Amino acid sequence: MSSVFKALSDPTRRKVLQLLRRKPMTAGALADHFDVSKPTMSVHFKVLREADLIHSEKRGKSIIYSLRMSVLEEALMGFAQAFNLEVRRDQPDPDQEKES
Amino acid sequence: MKATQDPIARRRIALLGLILLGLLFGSLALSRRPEAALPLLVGMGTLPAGWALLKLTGMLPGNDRPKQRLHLYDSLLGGGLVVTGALAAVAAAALGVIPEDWADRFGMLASALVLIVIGNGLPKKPEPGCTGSRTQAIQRLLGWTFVITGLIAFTIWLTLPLAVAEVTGLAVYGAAVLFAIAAIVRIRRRADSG
Repeated sequence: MSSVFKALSDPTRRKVLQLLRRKPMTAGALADHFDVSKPTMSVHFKVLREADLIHSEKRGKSIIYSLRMSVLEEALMGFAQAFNLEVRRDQPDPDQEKES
Repeated sequence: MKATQDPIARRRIALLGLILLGLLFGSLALSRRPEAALPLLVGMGTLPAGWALLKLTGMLPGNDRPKQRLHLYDSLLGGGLVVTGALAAVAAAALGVIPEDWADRFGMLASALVLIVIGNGLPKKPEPGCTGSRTQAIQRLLGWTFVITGLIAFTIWLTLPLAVAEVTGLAVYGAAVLFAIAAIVRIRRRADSG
């Protein structure tokens, strides 16, 4: 469950989940919505996959992501969104550390 | 690996415990309320029967598929919990520990809980080869409908008088079915046109 909280605590990852709520999308199409580097997006996808919130499927050369959120997880995301929960920036974010 | 560390062995022990507890409650209730205890005891019998059927037909997931094996035991445990709980309520009512109507209420509360649990997991259930937006939208819609209906039904059976709860509960389930059908038709039409 802690992996789910970690995944939902980041606004970028929540935005990815919101986009996937509409329809499954390719990694490239998802990345187009964000002004971040490709490796950063890959880390976000990895965190979401590890929390079992998204599912990836390789089709040809592209990876298609689809939503795999239970109702409870979606409700949690709604709360996180409503209260604008975010990883505290005064502590180093392990994801950011990995990237740099 | 010790039996207590093996998750499947733990589940087997828990399932056996539940079945034995169910039989104990069932035998307590059988003499005083056979009409309520008998169907539940038959329901309890379907758990080992279902397991044996899967084993006989070779459909029981083997050790090479631990995730599916765990999932199967979890489902059996879920069913066992509901039936044993219902038998415990009937036994308690038969012995005068709880009011008679609570034995009936328990069954409806348990079914509402089952609806919530199934609905919660429904959008997470992977449909092999189906990554389309229509499948996803229908799974999410059904998941939310099940959970909200389950929560409303649970509250109704917990708070309202029995006679009122029977009518209101039925109306809620009926409304949920109609809503789900209408929403699925809408999703299909939207997907076909777009």
